[in-house]
Amino acid sequence: MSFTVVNPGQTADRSTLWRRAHAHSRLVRLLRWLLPATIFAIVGVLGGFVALEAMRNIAARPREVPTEIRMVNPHFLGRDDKGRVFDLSARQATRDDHDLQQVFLAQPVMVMNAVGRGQTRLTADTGVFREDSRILRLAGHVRLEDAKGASAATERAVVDTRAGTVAGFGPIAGASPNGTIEAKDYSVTDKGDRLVLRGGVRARLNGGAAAAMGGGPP
Amino acid sequence: MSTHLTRALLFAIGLGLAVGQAARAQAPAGPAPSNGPIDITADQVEVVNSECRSTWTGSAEALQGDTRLRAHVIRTYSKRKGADANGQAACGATDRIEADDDVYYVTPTQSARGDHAVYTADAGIVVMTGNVIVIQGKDVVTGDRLTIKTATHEATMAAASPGPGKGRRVRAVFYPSQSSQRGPTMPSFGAPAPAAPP
Repeated sequence: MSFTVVNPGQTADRSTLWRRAHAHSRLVRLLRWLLPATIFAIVGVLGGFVALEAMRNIAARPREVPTEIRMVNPHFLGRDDKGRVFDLSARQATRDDHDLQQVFLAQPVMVMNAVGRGQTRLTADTGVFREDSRILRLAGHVRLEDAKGASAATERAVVDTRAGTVAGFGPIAGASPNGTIEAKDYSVTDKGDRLVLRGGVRARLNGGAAAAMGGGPP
Repeated sequence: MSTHLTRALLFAIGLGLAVGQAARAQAPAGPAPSNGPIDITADQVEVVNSECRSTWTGSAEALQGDTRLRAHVIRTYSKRKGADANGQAACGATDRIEADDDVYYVTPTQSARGDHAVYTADAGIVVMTGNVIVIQGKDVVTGDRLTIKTATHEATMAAASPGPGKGRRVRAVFYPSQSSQRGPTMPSFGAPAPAAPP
């Protein structure tokens, strides 16, 4: 029979070592999850920060503010296809910010044949002038007067400053020293050559003019 | 630069004057003042500057005092005067007036009806054709062609097929009680009305 003598000090060291090793393994296992999680968290925070900054930059980007260009008492001088001068003025002109070719006019005044004989003057409440087509659209109490004393009143008219014609539609009333004429609707076609008055056309010819046209029978 | 619109309106008024002139050309003496205002109505008027033409359609009617010219269509033509200062075609005095479809000319004492009428300004002649009927009081004259010289107020009624037994001839009915004092005559357009018998 034999006996092995065990040193109590050596037994204690092994136990300690084993516990230490076991604790180390747990730490390693923990760090295996913790470190990647930390990395992902940092990446997520960085990504979120970048996205947040991007959104802040978008929100803070300077916006293009519409700036209306206004002119007070503007005058626009031009010539039609035949070289005749016209003068377009208004109390105020505002250029359309979305369409720079378009100018809104307040109380426009159009003088056709401005430096020649037989001026024709058009006035209205509002107008829109397109610089590319040189078409002037008048609306609201449109009034047309010529040098011979004839006048016409309507609600809308379209002036082609290139051709020097006025067209339109809607009720119209015309007057001259010889008489008056009115209709519920009118249209001008063929570059102003053809005028059609429709709907209850009424004309009154003054007595003096009627006599001047030949007078009555003896 | 003149505008076509004002010129067209002036032209329309001027052609309205022409219509009134045609009415006066046939107008007899009467209470209506010859220089009184003329009212013209129609459903539509079309004015063509380059052709110096206007067309009044839709119960066109020219009224001056008690004198009335009515037709479904009235066309007026003016003389060309070349070009105006702006190079546009200029129209002058009335050249011709045509009336179509149930042309009526009515005064307080006379009335005439026809299918078609033409007034030529230079000649001073009105020609009414197509089932013409002229009425003055109870006197009635019918025929195919009525010609009126506006300067002399001479009126002539003619048949399309002259000669006896040729269908439509000029027919007249005169009532002696009205006509005996002056004899059976055509109603005289534009001439002074005969004095009433004492």
